Amino acid sequence: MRRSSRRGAQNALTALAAAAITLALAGDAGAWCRTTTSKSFTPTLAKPCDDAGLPLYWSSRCVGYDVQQGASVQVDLATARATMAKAFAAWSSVDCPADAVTCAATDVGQGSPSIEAHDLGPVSCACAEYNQKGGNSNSIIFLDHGWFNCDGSPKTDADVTLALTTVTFNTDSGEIYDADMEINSLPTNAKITTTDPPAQVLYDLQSIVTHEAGHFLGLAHTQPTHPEATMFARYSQGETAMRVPSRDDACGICAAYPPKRVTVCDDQPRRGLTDVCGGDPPATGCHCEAPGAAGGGRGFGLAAIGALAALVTGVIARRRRRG
Amino acid sequence: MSRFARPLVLALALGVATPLALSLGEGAAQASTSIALTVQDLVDRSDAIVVAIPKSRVSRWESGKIVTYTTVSIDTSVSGAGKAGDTFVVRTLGGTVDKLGQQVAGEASLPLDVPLMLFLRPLPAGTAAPAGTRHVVGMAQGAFRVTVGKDKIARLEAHLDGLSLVPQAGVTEPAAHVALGGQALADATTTLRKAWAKRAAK
Repeated sequence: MRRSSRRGAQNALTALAAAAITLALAGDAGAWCRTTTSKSFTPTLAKPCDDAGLPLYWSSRCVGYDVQQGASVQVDLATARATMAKAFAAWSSVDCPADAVTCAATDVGQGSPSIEAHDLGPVSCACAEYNQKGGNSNSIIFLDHGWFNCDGSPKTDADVTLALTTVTFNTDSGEIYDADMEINSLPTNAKITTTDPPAQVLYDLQSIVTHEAGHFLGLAHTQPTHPEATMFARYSQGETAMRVPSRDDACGICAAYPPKRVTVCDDQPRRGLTDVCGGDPPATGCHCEAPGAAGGGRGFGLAAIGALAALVTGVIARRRRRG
Repeated sequence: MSRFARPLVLALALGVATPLALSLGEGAAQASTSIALTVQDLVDRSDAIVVAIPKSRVSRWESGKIVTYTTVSIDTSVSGAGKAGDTFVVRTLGGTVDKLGQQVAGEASLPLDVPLMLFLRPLPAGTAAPAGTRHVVGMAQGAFRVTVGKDKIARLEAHLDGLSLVPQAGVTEPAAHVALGGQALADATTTLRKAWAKRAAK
């Protein structure tokens, strides 16, 4: 073998080794994903997080929320408010890294994320809605007596849905305007518990709302490689681990709300806090789509490339998105 | 080529089908938490199980929420109401109107021109939707994409679209998205028709 050829082969091997190390490190890196404005993103191994849409975020460093005043027969108002406060505090108190993408275990000490949630007091409105012209509230709603929409119609699949988060946002910017969390507390459907002894824990309220609070703040499910994360997609009865965000969760929230983000603290909901439901005149706007106009398959071109290239592309895309 | 295969090939040509080998079988976006439904649960709750292709949709505000009405064209009726060539209107929560978007965690995603196996049920009385409108049973649990892999076999792909699932206490059967996800369409159809017969015999 000629010297130059040998050197070329060595370089190629070195490059391959470097690529392998990079991929290996990428596998250990943060697996968090952010929610985006995309309507129907589908994760794949090559593209686990959406990078086509704009990430959703709260523009202010302070977000107000309100617990529905009736709370639940299973959880009184004081306990519900205390639980929500713990859930949001768990997110705002994480220790941020310098590099949220690599998310090294030793990379800490950069401060807390620039987001905090404030309890603005109980509200009487017990349905999830967004008022386009009137005041709003980011409501935490318990449903003890059946699940109904704001117009009084019954919610579908109410007997198998434990919690539902609805987020309203600006499609041009990704800014979140409103978020509501509905919790099914009908005793015959879901036995919610707030106790600590694991043997007594059924559907641990703090675990569920800490997970939902992550979504409320704009995080999506983490990748399946991180089952220890609060933002992992599955919860099992009796578990309490989701109460505390993992390192991966911390990197996700810090990427969304960097400690040094310059922003104001305004915890008031959009157009001010309202205590009651409704307040908007009937809206007439609509948006229609027909074949050829939709973006349902956007981004799937990546699937045609080889697995290695796809993984590298995915890593690059994530870094760009997170930047 | 079957009735079903033709639009599917077209969908693949348009680049809207995801290769099965790369699928994680999990969704992203927002999240809600639901109890995991088994295949029999899905069947028992449905009045129509179809392979259908979403053709158009319109989103609008209803009582402070955006809802989307999608017209789907039935390719194959697996069990229950509807026959090939019919259309159903399916309501899902969330959508986009003007420059406001609303995402309801875990709701089924019905992308246009993408073949889907759908478990449908009429909306309950009292809903503002037009008569005959259906919804997807179990939110994202009741919608599977149908894709053709390198082996040229149509298979079901589960996409939970942000739905966190809690196993049913005491139930040992796998959740429907596990049991049906990855199954060949033909096998899944057989499984579902058996489950439908079991339901009818109850």
